[in-house]
Amino acid sequence: MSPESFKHQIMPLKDRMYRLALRITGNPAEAEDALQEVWIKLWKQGDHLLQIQNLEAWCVRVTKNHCIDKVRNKKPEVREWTEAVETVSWDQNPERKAEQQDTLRLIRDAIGRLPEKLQLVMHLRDIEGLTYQEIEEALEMPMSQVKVNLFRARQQVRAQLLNTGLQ
Amino acid sequence: MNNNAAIRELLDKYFEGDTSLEEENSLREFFSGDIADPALKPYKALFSFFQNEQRLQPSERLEEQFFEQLFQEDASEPKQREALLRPLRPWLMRAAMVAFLLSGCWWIYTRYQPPAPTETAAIDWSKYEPETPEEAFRITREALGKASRHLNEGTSKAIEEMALLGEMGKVLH
Repeated sequence: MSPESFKHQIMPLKDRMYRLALRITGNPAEAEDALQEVWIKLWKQGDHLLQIQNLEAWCVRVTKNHCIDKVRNKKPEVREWTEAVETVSWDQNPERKAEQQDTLRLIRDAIGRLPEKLQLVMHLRDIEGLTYQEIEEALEMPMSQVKVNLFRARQQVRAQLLNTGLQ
Repeated sequence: MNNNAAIRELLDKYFEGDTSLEEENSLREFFSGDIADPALKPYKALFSFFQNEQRLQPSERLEEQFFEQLFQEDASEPKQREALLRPLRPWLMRAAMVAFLLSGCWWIYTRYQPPAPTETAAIDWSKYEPETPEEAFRITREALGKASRHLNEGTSKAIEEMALLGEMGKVLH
């Protein structure tokens, strides 16, 4: 695979791969490191990469596996999203802005507390907008399991949303 | 009001995990605007969070850095190999010379080796066997005579040397 074809086939997926890496690592710098490592892994696959039918699902799968390994090999520590993650509030009023950023952080934490599988399914569906079939391929999970995990994830997040009494 | 009822219904469907991607997009679109209904407000936060997450991107330099690193690695690979081989070069040359000489010697050895000795014919000892007792006696007598002559020679030499030793002993005393 030439650098040009790598650029054309893999690089359009970089944002999606980065967001998944960020979801798993919880840290922008670590997510970027992981992404570079994933690109190197993919580059080393050379022409085999061109024979893969669903390249997008493959890239998501490689990213997920790499980041999970990276996180598991790290010393156990409380994983918190760093403040470096940009938050965009939907209100221009400065008084409300801080409050809304807190709300976003609450939701991020609520999703972050979900079991890993539920988090990943919810991320790929609600943030990346993947179909059930694409999620099935990317996570190597039967479709019925994808649906069950998505249902559970949304239910748990809803319960936490209502418990926090967000306005 | 009707619209809100439809949205609530769609939300329930969403939380049951039964919505299609199109329905989820219409929820996102609805919650990107102002929400007056207090019952729907918490969900605005959720869909805003999704929108916020969709905007996250790696730093602009990341892709550039990756390709720079890739080209540097490609360019430095032959140099690294050369640097590794440089101290080994004199030894590799010597090993090559030894291998060349050994293979030359082997070639010469295999080319100029004398032909393998042909198989010798078996000796027919029956031809040399005495046919009569007189002949056997004569042969035995000749062989014993030859052995006796050699024994006598040895004895006389031993007597001479003993005599010499005796004389030497006298001189020393």
